[in-house]
Amino acid sequence: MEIDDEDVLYRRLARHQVNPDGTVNSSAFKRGAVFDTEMSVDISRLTTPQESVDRAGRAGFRLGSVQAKHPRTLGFDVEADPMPDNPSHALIKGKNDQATSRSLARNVQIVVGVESRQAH
Amino acid sequence: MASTKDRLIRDILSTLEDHRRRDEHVQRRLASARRALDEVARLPQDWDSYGARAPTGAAVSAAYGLLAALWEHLGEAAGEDAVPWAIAPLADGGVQFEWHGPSDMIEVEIGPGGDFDYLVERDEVTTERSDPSTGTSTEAVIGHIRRVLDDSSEA
Repeated sequence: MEIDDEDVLYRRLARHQVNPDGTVNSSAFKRGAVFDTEMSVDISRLTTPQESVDRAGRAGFRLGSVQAKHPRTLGFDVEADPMPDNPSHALIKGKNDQATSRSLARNVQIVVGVESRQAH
Repeated sequence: MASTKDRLIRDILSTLEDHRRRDEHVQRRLASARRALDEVARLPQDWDSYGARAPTGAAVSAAYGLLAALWEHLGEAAGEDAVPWAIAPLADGGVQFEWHGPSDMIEVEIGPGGDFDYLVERDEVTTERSDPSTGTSTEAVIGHIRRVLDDSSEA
């Protein structure tokens, strides 16, 4: 499946990944290895904000949204990666470092009014 | 009518009270930073819901050590700016700090092994960064933080 540049991607944010001023901390886009990062996201048109954030399975997570063109501009590939329990799953793949993570985080908007609920 | 001496005493007492309040405020902020780091240190595996590692002992220990060393270096000059603007865990078991100065900001990554990397930005443009292939000492990181906290407009 093709992901358009205008497609919106969702990524869950733990409490510590939201800055005191409400922006998103670059730590949200660091997966450990300096190179060849893979970050899971959900394609918004195949899910809902609440469904996406509830995949955390516990309360207190928020949801960040970013258009696919932003990670692509930074050199990442954005590829659909549907999973049996999450057909909206996609991956942001590519080389990452401190500066790139910060640039990516700057383009993320927090989805207002959406927070994960406790799994039942 | 209040004498000049009385007014002088009142002014001195007022200044001392201002300093006391400021020191209390800074101490509260420093304690709050320690509490935030305590909280990060206690995070479990998968704290981010994407399979993150819990912060490692080496990273947490290096993070406490960096804060202690920074505040010791700054001594009485340690003001509100010495408190990290953000404290965040990293998915690989590391910890990250961010400080904001008058012109620049510095992001310090502490890896799962307790090693340091840093990046300095001005107006969202990277002006300085560590070389990941070579280690950065605590003293060097403190030097960079101090430069960011000072007015670094000449950089």
